[in-house]
Amino acid sequence: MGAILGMSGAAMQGLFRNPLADPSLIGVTAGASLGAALVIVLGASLLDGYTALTAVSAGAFAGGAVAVVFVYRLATSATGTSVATMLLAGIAITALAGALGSLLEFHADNDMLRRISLWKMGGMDGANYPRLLLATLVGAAVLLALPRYSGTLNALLLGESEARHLGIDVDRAKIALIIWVAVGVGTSVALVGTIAFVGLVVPHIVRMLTGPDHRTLLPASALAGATLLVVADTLSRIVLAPTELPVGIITAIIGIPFFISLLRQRHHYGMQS
Amino acid sequence: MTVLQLDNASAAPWGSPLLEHISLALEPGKVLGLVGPNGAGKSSLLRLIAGDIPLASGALLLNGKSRADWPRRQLARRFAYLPQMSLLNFPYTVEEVVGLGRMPHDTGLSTDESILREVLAATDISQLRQRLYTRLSGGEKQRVQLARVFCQIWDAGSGGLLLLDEPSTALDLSHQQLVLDAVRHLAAGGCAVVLAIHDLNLVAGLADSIAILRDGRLAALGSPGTVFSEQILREVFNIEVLVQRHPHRDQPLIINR
Repeated sequence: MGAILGMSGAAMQGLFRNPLADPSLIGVTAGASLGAALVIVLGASLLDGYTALTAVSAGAFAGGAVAVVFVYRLATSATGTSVATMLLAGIAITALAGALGSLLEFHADNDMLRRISLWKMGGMDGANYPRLLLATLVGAAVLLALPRYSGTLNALLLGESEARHLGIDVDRAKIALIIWVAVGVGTSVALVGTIAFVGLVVPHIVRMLTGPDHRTLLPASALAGATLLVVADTLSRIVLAPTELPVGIITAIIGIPFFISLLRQRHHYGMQS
Repeated sequence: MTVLQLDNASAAPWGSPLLEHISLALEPGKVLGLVGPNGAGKSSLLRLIAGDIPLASGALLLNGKSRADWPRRQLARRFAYLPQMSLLNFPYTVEEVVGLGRMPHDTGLSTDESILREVLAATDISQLRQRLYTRLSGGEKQRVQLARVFCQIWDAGSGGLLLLDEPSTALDLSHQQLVLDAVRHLAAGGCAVVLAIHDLNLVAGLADSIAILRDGRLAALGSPGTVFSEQILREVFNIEVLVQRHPHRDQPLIINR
């Protein structure tokens, strides 16, 4: 999961030519959260235990997919796909999904509320073999697919028109990248909830170490994302043992101070934004 | 064989016509200079040729074929375009940016490296090779971007076409000269060049032919000697100039009155 988030984050930042981009920015995370909340509130009374978990995951995945398709449709016109419009549409979707989510929570009872908020914090306590298998399969597919676009992403940093003049089918590459990221992030949210800042912070650290070349950035981000999440998960299990803290809290607590210090020091490594 | 041919081409990407009835042709190894007031359509014409804005009517042929008939990578190996502004905002090294120009090619590492070295020397950025692009000055960035498109087209030879949109605006006099020499070197190898430029004396010494644009139409097309007349420049730019012979070279010299 960490690997998927790290690599997806790096790919998004390249695609949007913005080092602050994150999969949550195009609405995937918000859509997936809303999907999960919907299932918890509307469907949980009908299902229980194992089936409920699976249904919640499916809801999250569907929500993420709907969000991506919607944002992408909004941003695509006859003249191509506008990245700026897509970012704005992502913000709008995130706000809308947040509002609908609040509406659901308003009508939910105590038990549902607790489940929704736990879900939002993110956690890997629900691990079991079918989920692990799904995570492995999707992870392998995403991790194999994204690095094939590293050259394209390098050229895209020059600008879309420049990339086109370097012989790249820009529109097809954008669609493919967005689909892979949606699949990766949607699955990840579906399985472990929203885990903050891995997709944002990890590519940043790695870029400082290796430079912005996506041929090294993508695999290194995957590795670093996985490492960070394993560390965070271990911490979450031992800090308040035997209670297991939701891992999303740990990544946010590690990630946000780091991110703020990054903003203050960005000129040290030549980033201007 | 003409590298670039425009027949009665018009473009109107946002409704009102930007370019109308443009007809011109360019042979291998020739340099065409586009001049004209701000907003006359110089950049639009380059973007039309580059395929960034669509053709509304007329024909645009690259080596006798329309753009759609070219496979993407084949096209990228022969045609390079340097826009006026660069959006690059990530801390790539100079070497990495310039090396992106080799992306469409499969010429192998050693060829790529030797071309990279030649191009870095031709734009005088060899000493900046490991520096971060984001920390360079405006003129240095412009030379890096120039080097990138030179790198893309350095070995294209006859049949290549390079489009430059105001490549020398941020450059000092000696680097302007250096860039002109690099363009001449490419043209001597058979590559055709179209460049939009404001410095009339600079383009008069470089271009084989000049196209003057006004309000999206061709106001004049011909050799620098015939096109740069006091009367045409007065009509197009609304300025009074003296046109003399250059004391050392066979080119017109335009002086403010």
